Amino acid sequence: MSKLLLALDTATERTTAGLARLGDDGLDMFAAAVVDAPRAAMSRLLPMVETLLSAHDLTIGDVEGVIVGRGPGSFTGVRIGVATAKGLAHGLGCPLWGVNTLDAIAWGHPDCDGLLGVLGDAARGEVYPALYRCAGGHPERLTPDRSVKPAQVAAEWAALDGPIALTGNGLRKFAPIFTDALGARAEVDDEEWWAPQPAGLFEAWRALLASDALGSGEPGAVLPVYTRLSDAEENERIRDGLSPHPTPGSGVAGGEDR
Amino acid sequence: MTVTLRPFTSDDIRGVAALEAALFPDPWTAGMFAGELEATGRVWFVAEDDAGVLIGYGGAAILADGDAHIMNIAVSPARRGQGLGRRLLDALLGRLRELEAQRVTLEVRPDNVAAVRLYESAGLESVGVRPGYYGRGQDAAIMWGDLQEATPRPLADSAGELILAIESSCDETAAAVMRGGRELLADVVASQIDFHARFGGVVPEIASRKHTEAIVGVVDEAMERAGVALGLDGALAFRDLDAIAVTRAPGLIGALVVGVAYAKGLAMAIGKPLLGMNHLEGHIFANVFADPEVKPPLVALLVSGGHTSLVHMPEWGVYHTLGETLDDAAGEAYDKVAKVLGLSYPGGPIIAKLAEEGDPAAIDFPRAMMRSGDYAFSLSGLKTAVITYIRHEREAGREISAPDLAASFQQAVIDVQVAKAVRAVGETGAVSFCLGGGVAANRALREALTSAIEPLGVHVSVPPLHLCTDNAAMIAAAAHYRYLRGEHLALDAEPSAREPLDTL
Amino acid sequence: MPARTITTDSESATRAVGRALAPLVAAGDVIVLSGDLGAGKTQLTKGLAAALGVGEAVTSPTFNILLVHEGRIPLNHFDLYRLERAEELDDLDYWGVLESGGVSVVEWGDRFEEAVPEECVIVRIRVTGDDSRALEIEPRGARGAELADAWAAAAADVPGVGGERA
Repeated sequence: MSKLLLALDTATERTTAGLARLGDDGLDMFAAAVVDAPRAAMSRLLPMVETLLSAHDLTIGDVEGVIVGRGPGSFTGVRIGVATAKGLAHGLGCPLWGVNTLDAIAWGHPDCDGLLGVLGDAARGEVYPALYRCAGGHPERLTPDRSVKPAQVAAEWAALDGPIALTGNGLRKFAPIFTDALGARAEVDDEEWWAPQPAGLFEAWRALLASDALGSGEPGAVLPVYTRLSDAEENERIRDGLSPHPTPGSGVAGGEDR
Repeated sequence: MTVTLRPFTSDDIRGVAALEAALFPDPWTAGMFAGELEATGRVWFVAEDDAGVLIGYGGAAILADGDAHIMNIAVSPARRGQGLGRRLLDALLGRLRELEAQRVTLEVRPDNVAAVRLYESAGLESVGVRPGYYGRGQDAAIMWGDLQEATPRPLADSAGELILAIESSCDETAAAVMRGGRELLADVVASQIDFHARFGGVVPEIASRKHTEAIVGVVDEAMERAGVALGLDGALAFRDLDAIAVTRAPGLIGALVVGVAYAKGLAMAIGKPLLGMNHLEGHIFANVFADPEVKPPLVALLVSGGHTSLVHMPEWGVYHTLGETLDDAAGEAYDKVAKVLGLSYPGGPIIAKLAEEGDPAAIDFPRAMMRSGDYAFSLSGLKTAVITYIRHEREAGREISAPDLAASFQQAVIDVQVAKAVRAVGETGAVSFCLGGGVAANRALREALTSAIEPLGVHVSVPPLHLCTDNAAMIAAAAHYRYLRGEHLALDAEPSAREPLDTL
Repeated sequence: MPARTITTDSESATRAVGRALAPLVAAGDVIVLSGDLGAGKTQLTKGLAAALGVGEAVTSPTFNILLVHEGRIPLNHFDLYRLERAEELDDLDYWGVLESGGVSVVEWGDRFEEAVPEECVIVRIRVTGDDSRALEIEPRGARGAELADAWAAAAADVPGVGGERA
């Protein structure tokens, strides 16, 4: 028995989708597509999913689970991805699981060993930073989600020891800030890997599965990652027992929340 | 306009007996209805509107041999022609099937063609006549049908297609289920739902976030209510829908994005057509839905905080925008004048109320574009004229009469709207005229339009107040014609903050 | 950076000042407009839009909050009048739109300090008479200064327009 899973992410200027089978012997991704579609995810995403499916003689009705990148990222992009995924999963009557887009980017770097800094573009002159310690292809998240000025992140990361691999679309505007602060310790990733890859989405999902942190799978329960929630909303979430920072992952350390 | 069907209880006896007395020359008494509640093998449903008013009922008895007898189906005269009889019949037949009744019979006056057709569409056939059943010389047709043999008919049969409509163009997330464009099975807005109970979370106050969090719950609620209305065992299933409709324009782009993305995903998942709707056609169909006499060719004046336009609909589902505002919308002008007067937001209703006590001829404000020879509106100049007037009066140390100012401002708005509407009706040869949008709740505007246009022999429709605000029922009603015309939206479709009705 | 003041004696002169800005703006530029109701914020925007080659009517974005018009470059026309909280800016994807490759005009942009970017031109319109207005132009950042200088120079040649250095 195997299950067909669809993964998608539109939190960056790249629209991403992939198909995988989850069987007894693991997760097998057999179809993936990533296209440059700045501010065009709404028009590109579903035709892309349809193309992927039909290329493998599948239909949307064969999908048994949907995985979506919840951001952080472009507000419009994240909403398009999450709302589309909700419609798909709700209509299919199958589970919907959210994964953190920065985690998916990190999981897309299996060769990384040591510190990995993901910098998502948060607009407004800010970045969404996330720091990971990678070992054996497994990134361990060290910092919570937030949006912050890049100079502050660069200073924090400069205080750490050892080289830091840098990735994420925040580098497009702010790479010099980090290379200046980190000097030779900064290893700037090739641009091709700045956006989440389908394989990274599946791996991030598998990590949630392994740590029993997938959530209910209810399509209504999956929400975007907002790092700039108002205090009132944040407090209500905490009161209601919802994590204000739904990013799973142990060993949260370093970096201040806002 | 939501109609709810539910089992008959002792609390309903008085209402049912009253409606019965109003409808039939030899009515059953309250005591007889009470007896029905006591008796075994009885199935009764009542229908009530969203104000809790009883508007119909129906009952059947299961006889000893497994046959069932439908004794009565009654609908308040004001609510006929809206598919309510059909719903009552469906509910009775559904329950009788569950109770394993084998066959069903009833008597009907043969000249009551609508009723005979209704029963025939449910699979009953006329098999004979019961002479003198309704009195001397008044025979009844006897009809019989098989309850268990027939394969379940599709939910969307002769009564029309089932459409789920989703509306997220502004602040409210809304969903509705409609059958055949007229029969509203569910009408839900997010603010009605206890999300805390459902999800244990809070729904944020900010529009697009709220839509993203609420949309699944709102749709679930609509499908559940539709299931109840159809007498199903649970929620209506997505597979039984014929199409999904979604508001694609105009509105807040970030809010529209959520509804359109969700609806596209849903339509793809269930393999049903997606219908892209314009919010403005919804406001026209709020009238069509509430007033069966509205028909094309028609002219609609759509006025709200976001738009002011005159639309010609020569036939169902075809739209020509005759003219729009070149600057501010009418509702926006009301709000901004209220703001200048130091009144609270939204200012429309407050200005309208003040105007009732003022002299509309007190101040001669400009009637922009009144004689422009086209259907364009301009309200920015009027707004500036009001502001300038207030500044002059204050500089001169004179007291401003807020009622006079409100009445004079309102009259300037209404004069232009009425003049253009009258001309549009004349030039297009419309037989109906509709008012729509939030400002359609303004009584002075409703009255001025009615008294100017009705004498032309044109049917004038103003929407019920609860349909002036944004809702998904009106989108579902309009979707009926997009469905019939086969106008489907592709998977690469995008929403638009502003798009004329003509192209969407 | 000193503020400059441009004066206009009619609505059409205010629109002409907007037109004078059109050849100077580039993708990413932000013009923040403030001033009372009826001051002429939309008139200024209409002039800019016309000279950018926008064909459709530039209607008030008060209800929609954002209307995008296609011209030589896209014109993102914001109106923050209805917003109650700065958090709503995120919800609108305000910063994402500012950076999306067009020129942005933000009416009532002064309602939220967060809405005023580090690089922009702020225009405060004061009503000085029935038809006359004073447009006080305050640049922010290097690009803002460059744009404000060029605009003030171009507007000086417009009939019905006067100017002074504050």
